[in-house]
Amino acid sequence: MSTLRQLLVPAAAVAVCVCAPCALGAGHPKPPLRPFIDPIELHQWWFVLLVPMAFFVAMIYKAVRLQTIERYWWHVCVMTLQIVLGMIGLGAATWFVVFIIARIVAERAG
Amino acid sequence: MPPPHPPTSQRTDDPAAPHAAAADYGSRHATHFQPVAGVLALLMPGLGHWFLGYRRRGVYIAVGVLAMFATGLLVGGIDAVDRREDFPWFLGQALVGPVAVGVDWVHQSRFKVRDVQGLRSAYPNEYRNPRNGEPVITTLDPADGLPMARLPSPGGDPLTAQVVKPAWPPNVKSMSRMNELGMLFGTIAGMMNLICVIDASFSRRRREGDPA
Repeated sequence: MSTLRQLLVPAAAVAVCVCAPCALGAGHPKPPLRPFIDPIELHQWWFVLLVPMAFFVAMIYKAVRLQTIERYWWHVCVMTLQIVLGMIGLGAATWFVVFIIARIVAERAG
Repeated sequence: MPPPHPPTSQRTDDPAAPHAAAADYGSRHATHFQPVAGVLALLMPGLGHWFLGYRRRGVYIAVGVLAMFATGLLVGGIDAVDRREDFPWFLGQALVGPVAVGVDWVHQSRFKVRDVQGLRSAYPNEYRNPRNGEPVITTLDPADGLPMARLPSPGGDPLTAQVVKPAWPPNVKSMSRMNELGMLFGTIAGMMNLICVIDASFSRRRREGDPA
């Protein structure tokens, strides 16, 4: 019984892996892009979206926070730059910790 | 406790008067709790500040929040707003206001297909039957490779079945980073609007004399 199970389980897994994409339409063509309905293809450039996100956050925050609305767009641009540079700095610091510090610690630990 | 509305004596038949009254109301009572402004800000981003007389701030908030939410939709598609599959994210998105709830309603009722297990997103080889929302398996036309669906007629007669071509799925399900970023844009827009709602509800003294 266990031998039969050992044979059937991998066979079933292979069958699911092979057949499921076909059943779900893996070979079907993609429809033309319908904005706001279908996602856009920015998988390789996802980090670029940080700029509009930072800009909109700065736009809303400065509209609430500024004491007077004079030089509003200047403050928005400065805050956008601060957010983007801050995120780049955080990314660099994380990279440094993970790839440099952690490696040194691991080598010293043995 | 301030009066809930501008004094009646300030109201006139002049079309511009309500705005002027609200502006005056806002500048004079801006240090107190403003429940009306808070509710308006929750109904429409920026409307609370507009009501208090901070017109430009209201416009900036509205443009910022709605553009951020729209960017989320553009990036992740309509699948980025889904209260059934991504409820925790939707809690944040709902803070944008009725716009987010409306988008979710459209998503659930006009884009998802209904099968025995309930509502779900259509697979790439499915077409949504507009009559009942049920999925219809599509086949590829060998002539041009476009998908086509055969919608069953109401009477069940296969001879009178309607053929739809091209029969694209109602929407493409967003995956991976595009889905995450789409949801993130919408949720951050909602969280930022919450800040605006709180700011409109508890306006502070620092803006006294600033008509913007």
